[in-house]
Amino acid sequence: MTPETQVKHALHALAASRRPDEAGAYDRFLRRHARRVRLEAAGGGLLVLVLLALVVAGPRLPLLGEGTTSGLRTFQRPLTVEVTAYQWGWRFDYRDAGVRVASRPGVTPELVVPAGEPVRFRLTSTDVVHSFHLPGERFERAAVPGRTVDFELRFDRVGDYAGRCGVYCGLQHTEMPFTVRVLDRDAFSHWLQAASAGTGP
Amino acid sequence: MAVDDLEFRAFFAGQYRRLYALGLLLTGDAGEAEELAQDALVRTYRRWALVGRPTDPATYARKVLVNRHRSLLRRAVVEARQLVRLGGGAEPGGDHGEDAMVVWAALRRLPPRQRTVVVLRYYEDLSEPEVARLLRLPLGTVKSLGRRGLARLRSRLAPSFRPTGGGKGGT
Repeated sequence: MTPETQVKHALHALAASRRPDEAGAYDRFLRRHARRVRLEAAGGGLLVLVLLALVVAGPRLPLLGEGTTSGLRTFQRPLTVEVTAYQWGWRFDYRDAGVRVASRPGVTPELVVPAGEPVRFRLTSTDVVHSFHLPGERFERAAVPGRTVDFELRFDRVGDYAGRCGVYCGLQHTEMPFTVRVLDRDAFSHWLQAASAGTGP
Repeated sequence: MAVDDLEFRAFFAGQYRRLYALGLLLTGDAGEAEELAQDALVRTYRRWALVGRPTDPATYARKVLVNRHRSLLRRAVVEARQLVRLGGGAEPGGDHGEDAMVVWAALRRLPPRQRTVVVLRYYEDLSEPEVARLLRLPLGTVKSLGRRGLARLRSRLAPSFRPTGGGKGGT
């Protein structure tokens, strides 16, 4: 007898030595099947509920759509403002909204931001070294031509903050004041919409 | 429901004992064998009802049982129970004789993968490529597992085992 045949015989003898309880096997099968069908139905129902919830609430979730609700607002992508210093003025670009605020003769430019949210700034210069300086907040970052400096700020208090160029940048260095105007969320949204539509300041 | 209940009942009657035996050889436990056989048949029935009759329902049910056994093995709790059993746990009850006891002991001492390959090769009579496909293992691995499993099994059976009604037994 070959080894394979020996093992084969052994396994068959072993399997034959133990019979299953076949009497109620089909009834047990039917009960088990019914349980599985109920589970599948419950799982399917749950899946439908989750999908419905996603369809209904999805657009309101900050990561899935533009719309926001006040409760979820803090999960928004931070507002990004590109700040460009030049001789002698400032340009603030809200790229996502297509809004640009720039210095004009005799008018101090306003950098408008929402209160209580992080705001991301991308700072650069087109000519010489300037600096984005908020003396009241003791904050300053250099604006260097050819380089972009990223930083985030959060203004918790609604109001105006005085800003200026912090390094001597030429004859009209002192003509580079700007104001950070901090608005509450709704006021900021209105401002941004109006500016975007060309009806703002 | 798309299943002909009479046809499935006949299939059930024809396969239950075979699947139970396969589960028994794979797990060494009558309760788990019953669980595996019932589970395989329920899943086969669901496939039958929802998608249609499998081309070869018996092969389908066997595949479900083996896969289910493998996934259970992966679970640490079941693995731990298996290890305890391998260490000399309960014997399968029933009207088995001394020879069967020897085979049980030898089979249960095989590592799970070797045991699965040996059972599929020598109880289910599958070829090595068929086992490789069923277990989704490389053919070389199946050959190696089968060779080692067979050698270990025989080394444990050889001294005392003489299969009923055939040959001289031993080596």
